[in-house]
Amino acid sequence: MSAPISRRGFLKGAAASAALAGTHVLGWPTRAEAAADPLGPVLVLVNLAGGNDFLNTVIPLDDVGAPQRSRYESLRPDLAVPRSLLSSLSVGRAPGLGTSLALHPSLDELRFLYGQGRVALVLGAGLTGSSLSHFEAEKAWFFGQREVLAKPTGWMGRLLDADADGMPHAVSFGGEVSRTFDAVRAEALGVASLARFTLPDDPLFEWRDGLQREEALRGLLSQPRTGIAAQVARAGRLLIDQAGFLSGIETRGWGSRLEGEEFGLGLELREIASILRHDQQNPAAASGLRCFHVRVRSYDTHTAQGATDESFGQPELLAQLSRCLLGFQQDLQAIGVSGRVITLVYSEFGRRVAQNGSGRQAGTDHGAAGGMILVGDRVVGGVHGLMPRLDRLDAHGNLAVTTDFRTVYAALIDHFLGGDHRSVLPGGPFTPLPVIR
Amino acid sequence: VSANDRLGVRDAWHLLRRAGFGAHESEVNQYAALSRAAAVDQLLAVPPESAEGPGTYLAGTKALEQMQVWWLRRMATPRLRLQEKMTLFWHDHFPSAADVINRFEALTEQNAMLRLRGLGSFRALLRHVTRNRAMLQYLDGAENRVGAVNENYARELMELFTLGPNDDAGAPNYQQLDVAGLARALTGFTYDTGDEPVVRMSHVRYDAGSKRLFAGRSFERAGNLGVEGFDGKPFARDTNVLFAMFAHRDSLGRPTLARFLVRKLWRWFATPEIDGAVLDELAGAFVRSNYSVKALVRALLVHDAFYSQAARSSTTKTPVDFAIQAVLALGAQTDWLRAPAFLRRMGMSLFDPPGVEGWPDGAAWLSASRYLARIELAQALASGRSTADGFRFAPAAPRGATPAALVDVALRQLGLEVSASVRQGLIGHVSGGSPGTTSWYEMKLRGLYVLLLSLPEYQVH
Repeated sequence: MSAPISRRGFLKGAAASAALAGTHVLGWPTRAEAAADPLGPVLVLVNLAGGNDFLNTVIPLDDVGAPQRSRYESLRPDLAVPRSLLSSLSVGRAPGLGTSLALHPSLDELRFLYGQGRVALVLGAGLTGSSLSHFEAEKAWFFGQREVLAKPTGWMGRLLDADADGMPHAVSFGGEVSRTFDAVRAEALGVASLARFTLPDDPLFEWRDGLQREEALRGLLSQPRTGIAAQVARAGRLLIDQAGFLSGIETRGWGSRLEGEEFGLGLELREIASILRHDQQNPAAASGLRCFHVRVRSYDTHTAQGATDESFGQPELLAQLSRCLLGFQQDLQAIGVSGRVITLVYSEFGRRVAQNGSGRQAGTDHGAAGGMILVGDRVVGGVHGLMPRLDRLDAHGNLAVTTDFRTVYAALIDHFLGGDHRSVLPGGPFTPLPVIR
Repeated sequence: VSANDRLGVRDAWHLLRRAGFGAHESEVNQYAALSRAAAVDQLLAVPPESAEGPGTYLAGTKALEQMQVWWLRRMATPRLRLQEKMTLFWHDHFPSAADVINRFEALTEQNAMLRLRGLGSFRALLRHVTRNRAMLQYLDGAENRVGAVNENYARELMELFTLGPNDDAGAPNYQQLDVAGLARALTGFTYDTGDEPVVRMSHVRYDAGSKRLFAGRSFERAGNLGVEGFDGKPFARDTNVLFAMFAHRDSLGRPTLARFLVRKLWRWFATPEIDGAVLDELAGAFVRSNYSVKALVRALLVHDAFYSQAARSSTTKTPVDFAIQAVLALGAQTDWLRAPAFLRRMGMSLFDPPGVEGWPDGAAWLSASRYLARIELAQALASGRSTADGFRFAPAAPRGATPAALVDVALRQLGLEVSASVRQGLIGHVSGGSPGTTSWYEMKLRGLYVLLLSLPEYQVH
């Protein structure tokens, strides 16, 4: 088995990072410190890729303050969610306008958490003047800045850079590493699934000393190199040091509410909960992981977006999101870590207000303002940010941005993660949105 | 060095890796004796063909794997290497994915079209992509109709397929109004859902009203813009919106589309960044050839900058490059049936790219899980003692060879250059421990190949 070997590598790394302890400038602990104090903040980023239609996520119920409901119904004859299905899912009134709002019926579980004061809904989120291109808009969210430089870094990457100690403090699920973690020094692990995250065993190679080949590989990866081979070698060393350790964490059979989830969001959130459970129970060997990124595709609903039928389109996606967020939150409570974990759900933009087709095929094109969802015990529950007006759409028929998403990043950095957003987010300072208690 | 000089072994490895999927050492040596021009012409000599897909379609994952295996076998066929490398480029550039397309026939049909036209005129290719059944479904062109305009294809046509969002000076190449106008001009396409791929223009779906594109710029177009009439005949130049993409000039007055495609092809074949002078030169040649992809690829593959030291080991191999290069160089035997599962874990399922932007390249190929999957493939390949396990491979071990000689033979076989310290580490591995039985020796040797294929130097080219 290779697990014990990698474990040894991990401990070696921990010793090395202990030597560097004390050099950090933000509140984020090095891995060695995390072991000493496993109770640090953890941020889980859930990216709804493609552009989630936030107008069908948090939905206007009436025309108080502006003709919100009537515009919604007239511009979306096939996509408007009927008021009769929404009454039990009310989340109160929009700040400013006073329009009543409700969550989409497929977000039943999220409504339950909302009722406990554990959910913040941020309306009108985006960046004024941002592009309607997926890729340009995503960059703004990943990099946390408007102007993209030649060698951009992600907003989380910059935060992690400040304390970089050669050990990864972030995991990005889904195979590749989210550009949120692009950094100068800090490492993030791109992991498909913890279950397979181990060097292959093959009896053929278990000659004399099973450690030999892995040690040889480790030695070869440590040789001096230049150019991209040097980057690859760094990735390889990280892999060898971490693989056995992370795959050794129990990810099933411990009573997770997400036990049956075998792929995508549900599986990935269960694996995150499993890591946090491991850390909580084994503080002396805590992973040191502080940030996780999960990406859910298919929110680009140009066609067949659906209104309420959960067998396809956005309702199917929202139902999955809601179920998984509740299961995850319940896991965190059961483990005893819910007080130090916040989940942020975000998407590169909202969608066009007017639907683009008709009947079952109706969809929506790319929009401007979207919205964000924060879940956690430390979240200030309720509706935040001004509701964009449906009678004052921009020249392209899109909702105007009312909340700069960087005010939410700033709140997370300053009031939860323990840093100073001014050193992480250019273009500020920003007034943190009061979403953290 | 001129195009008439002999390539030599180093340049031959470089060319065959980039313009194909690698080669066996014996073939590298044959190419090494050719001039650059002759080598590239030999690669380009394969006549365009419309290879049919794998034939029988099963449902779901099995059908997808069947298609993937079919394509991998073609890629691993030396004679077809450049044709298949180009087809893969276009698949990445004009993607359609199995997770969206419910009829896989449409995907293999698109694949055949990209193969047939991939080295022809880019004007013709763009038209055939625009009216392609899989693309009409993937980017909702078939849902784009008068009064119910769907912007999906129009936006990506400009952003990802022809112009890019901004030019070198940072000026936007188009506005949202252009996306909306172009989308209207692209209305009307529909396809019949039978086995025969019939794509046609529909009277009731086409928006015959007046549209405007690139308003206020020298190449502005206005009027009843479109792509083709109800008789299937293309619109004339001044009203054809695909021609408008070719007429586009950036804020510095340069041909936007030509520069965009040259940059992307250079990134695919050569290096992530292109030198400004090389870009000007190749874009000029592309325009003068009336957008012949073959002419551009030829100019690129004989260019000095393609063979420069800076171009070596400058880019990460795709998983397909990694897998096929290893199999060919080692002379391993495989039916490729186990390859799709490895490729999926390495992040590259053919016919199923992750999104309209194709596969993220560079460092994205070597996240921890994906690198791990490469090591798994290295192990399956190097340990292969029967094709039943997926791969059969017999390491060549000269009788009585010293550890240093074994390492050097293997490095040459893979066309791999490593530093003295890495070579010493490999020799140390081979000579470590006390020699035992023949099987001990064989394991040692196979282990050497696992290490070689796992090296950072082998992940880049």
